Amino acid sequence: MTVYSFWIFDRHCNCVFDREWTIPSEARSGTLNSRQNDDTAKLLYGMLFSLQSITNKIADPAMGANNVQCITMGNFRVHAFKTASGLWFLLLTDFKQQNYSQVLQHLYSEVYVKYVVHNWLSPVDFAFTSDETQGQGFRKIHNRRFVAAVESVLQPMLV
Amino acid sequence: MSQASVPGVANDGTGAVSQQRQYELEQEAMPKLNRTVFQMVLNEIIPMAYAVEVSKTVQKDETGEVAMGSLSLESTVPGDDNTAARRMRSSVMAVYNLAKLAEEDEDKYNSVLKRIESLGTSIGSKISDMLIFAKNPSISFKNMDLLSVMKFICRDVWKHVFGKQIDNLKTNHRGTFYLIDLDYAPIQDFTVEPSVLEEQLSEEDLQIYELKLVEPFLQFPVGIIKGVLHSLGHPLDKVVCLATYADKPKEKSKVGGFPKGINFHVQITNN
Repeated sequence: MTVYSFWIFDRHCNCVFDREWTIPSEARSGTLNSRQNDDTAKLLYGMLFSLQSITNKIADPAMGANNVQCITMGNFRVHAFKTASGLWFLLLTDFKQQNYSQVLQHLYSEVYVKYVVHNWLSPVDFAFTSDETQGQGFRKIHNRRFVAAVESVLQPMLV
Repeated sequence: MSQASVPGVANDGTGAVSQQRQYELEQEAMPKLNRTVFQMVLNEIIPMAYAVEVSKTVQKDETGEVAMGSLSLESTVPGDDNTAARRMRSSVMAVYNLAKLAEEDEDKYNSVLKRIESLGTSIGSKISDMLIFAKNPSISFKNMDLLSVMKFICRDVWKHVFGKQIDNLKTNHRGTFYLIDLDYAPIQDFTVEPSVLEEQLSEEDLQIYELKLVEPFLQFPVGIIKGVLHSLGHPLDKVVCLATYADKPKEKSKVGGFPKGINFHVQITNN
């Protein structure tokens, strides 16, 4: 199993974290919070957003939450995890493993909550002014312990 | 069921055991508070203290109208010419206030620390009253010398407020104490967030800046120590307490958490 990249989007449709591994066997390779990934992030979020609004329309609202969990493409899979606070955690992987929901849940509860929510030196909302909402934001989660924790969770899955 | 198998109620005739049991039962019956929520409220005191200090000076400087405006969340930082700051969303105010506080001149900075400390002091003296009222049979408050007061702070007060004991207590037996907490609970998950800063700092400068940002958080436990000492007969003007960073021993620093421990230096002058 291989993880290709990991993304976090906030409720203002901004990408607040991205990490992409370009050479699967090399843990240090790839980009972190890169400007080059801005367009990919927008496309990814756009796809997810449209799918989500379609599923919301189709589903019976009485059945409860109906979030997109997994999108399978020809070459890779997008595993998605939506929190009630409007955050999206996305993991792009190959097909070897079916379910990454536990990994995403772990990244949310043990990494994001720990180093962003409980960290008083970091904002919980990365859109500082109203100009930075609706996909116009540019601030990303960059604190060193968050990055290190993400790496330590995902690196073993690179092989 | 035989009576002897019930812990703490053995009928050995001594009052000590049942007293201990009584204390435990009373403690269990006390309402409980979620530690996470409590810690969040504690931490929020620090940026709030700065916001209060700022809005106080504005009220002094300008007309009543502006002072009223300063109460609304959207513009907690009036007096700042930066229009972007005025439109700052309330959800990021805490971070913004902390960063501003670190840039303040010494007078303002110290007056904010003083405010945080006095909040800690009043809570500290209340906590010691609360613990005395709880009648824990293993603590005797009669004829307490300074060392046992310090031990009371390290063990009982710290455990109640921060969920753990102080790691190390050192003294020269002449009124100087060092209380060392290697993983002071409220700041354990803190790391500076570089994307919030306007300029890029090197890795080393970031860590220095991080320590500077965390410094105000240490003033609260300082206040607690002073408050407890005050309520147990050591007036505030006889006590000097300073918090500084202490290096962690090697085996502990690998585990994670905040990179520095905290050293509380308490100096008590006798009359």
